[in-house]
Amino acid sequence: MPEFAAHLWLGLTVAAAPTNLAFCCVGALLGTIVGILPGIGAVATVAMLLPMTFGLPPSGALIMLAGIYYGAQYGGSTTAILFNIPGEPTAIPSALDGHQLARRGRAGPALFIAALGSFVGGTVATFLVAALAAPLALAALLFGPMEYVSLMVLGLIMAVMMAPTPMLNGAAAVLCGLLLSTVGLDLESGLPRMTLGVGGLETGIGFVSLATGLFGFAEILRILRDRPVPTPETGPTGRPIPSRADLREAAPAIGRGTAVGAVVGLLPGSGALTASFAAYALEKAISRDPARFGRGSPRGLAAAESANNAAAQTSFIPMLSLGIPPNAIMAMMIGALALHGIVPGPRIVAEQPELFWGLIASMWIGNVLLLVLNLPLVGLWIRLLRAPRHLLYPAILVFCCVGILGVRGSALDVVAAAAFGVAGDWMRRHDLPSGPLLLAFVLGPMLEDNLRRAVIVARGEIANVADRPLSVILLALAAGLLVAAAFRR
Amino acid sequence: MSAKAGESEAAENAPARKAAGSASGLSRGEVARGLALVGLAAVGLCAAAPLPGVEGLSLGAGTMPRIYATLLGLAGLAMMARKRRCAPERVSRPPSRLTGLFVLAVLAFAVLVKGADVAVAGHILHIPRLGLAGAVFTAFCLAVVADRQSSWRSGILAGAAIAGASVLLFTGLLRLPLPAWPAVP
Repeated sequence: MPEFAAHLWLGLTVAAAPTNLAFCCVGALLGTIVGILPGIGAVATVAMLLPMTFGLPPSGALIMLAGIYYGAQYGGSTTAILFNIPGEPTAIPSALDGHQLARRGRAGPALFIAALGSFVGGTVATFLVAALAAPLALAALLFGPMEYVSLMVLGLIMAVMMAPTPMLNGAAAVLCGLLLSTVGLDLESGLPRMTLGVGGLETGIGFVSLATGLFGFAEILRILRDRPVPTPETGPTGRPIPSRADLREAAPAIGRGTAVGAVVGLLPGSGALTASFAAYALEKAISRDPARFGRGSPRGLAAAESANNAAAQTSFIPMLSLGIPPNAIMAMMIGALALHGIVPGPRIVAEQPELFWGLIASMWIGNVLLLVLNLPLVGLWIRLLRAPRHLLYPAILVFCCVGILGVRGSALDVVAAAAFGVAGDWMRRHDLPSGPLLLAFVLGPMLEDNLRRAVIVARGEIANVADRPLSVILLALAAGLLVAAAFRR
Repeated sequence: MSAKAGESEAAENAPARKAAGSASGLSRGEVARGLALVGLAAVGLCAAAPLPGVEGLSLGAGTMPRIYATLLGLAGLAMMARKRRCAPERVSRPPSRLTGLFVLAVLAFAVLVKGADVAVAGHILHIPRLGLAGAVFTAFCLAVVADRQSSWRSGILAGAAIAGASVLLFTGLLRLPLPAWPAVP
């Protein structure tokens, strides 16, 4: 326990350093600003703002990215409550009850309950991350190349299964991502491959181009095309402090939502969306008066908000301890770390303690900042939502272009992002999910590298995998999931 | 994995899928999707063709790309086959003007910021460097025009403001190594 406390203290000293605090604050604010724009979810927000972090030191960059992530989540909830426009899908359950409260002139208490739920969920989950990440990282040191291959195969299969599209479509997206990941220098021979003779592709497809194109540019294209409805009016926000009755009702729901979110966020393929819907459903199921849900119940709002924030935090555990991203956001974090020359995984805890514990402490500080900053700034967010969108989204587009160019200074990266933007829009219209593609793109090189090592370790006899029980369990789990999915159909 | 973006796609695509249920006959969208995947797989296989395969304990540079491309091709074929048996889905077509201007805006930014020499029909076209200010302004105006609701006037005014802000932020504050202003001839 003293060691745990010492680690957390180290993290707090790193995260509370004035520069890192400023990065966290700027990240949370930027994330909120972009996150409240309807249609732009957390993934797109992180993708768009990712290039802004490259000039920063690694710990500052990661802290700012994490701040952007929570900010985007929070921004989505604000618009859901005030205007019934969920900034992102995780905020849909919050809109159900939060907006009903707002329509009755109780937007202030609704925003407060959402903020409180998010804060509690985030705080508990942060401590869970701090408590579990280090032991998990130690356990991960037992993993050999074959175990990593098996884990990645399991992760990719779960990505396919959890994608909101038919399984075949998810599998095709994963294969596209894997194929794209092979473009560039071969890890073993050092020779360029899959470049089709295009100069500039020898260094591979830029992660930022792919992420910004598939998520950021594709979102902007969709928004420009779909002409979002004008921002509706909302009632007065009212006194921000909820009544005692509200708090009595919300408190147990926050506890249950936090527990659901913390567990769901740990699972590969899962995320804040699953967590918020699961917590809302649980709360409704155990309620004596389920008819109140959807009509302004503080319980529903509190459960959903605490669950989505808790899940957002605990999804850092597999990323930090195993180096395996459980969702597209974490894939972006891995991409950002790789651009700073840091390989996430079990060794990061021992080799980069400042970065690791600093990030964990910044999660908590980020939650405090969101609580302190966002409630007084609600009026500003409302005004931002009324900004002319036909000017707002082109502005975001050009800022993204500058950001992409700033990473490697290559105009080809900007052109590639445009191509990926069109491709991302095409994929969306054809029901092909972009998230699994990005995840596979990040995992592809790791998968190939570990498979090569596994073949060498097994002296070419891949059947020797039977000697590795953990590997067998992971592969059996993957096969079981596939069989279960086939039967379910 | 179930990225939130992917999740949001589900919500957005749901109406398209719902609408599809009532349609009948072979869906062009489904065939296009399958064909595109098969085409991508074919490009992948061609690119991987000259690469070495498994040799001894080495997997070789071409093994994984070939495996991925083959599986992708099979997935594309399976999609086409699957959809011949089920109700087709209707896939919306984006306005080509919007997509065209959007791409043009990004391309304009890419070539104008540092300038470029582009080969067109055997001739070298010299595109002058407009720097960050000029490239941002041009790209912004093109993106604004993509939306029919916008007017040139508001686009130009906002474009000038955004260009100024970009120069201040990116070259002044963040010190990105990009030329801020057009090249003086």
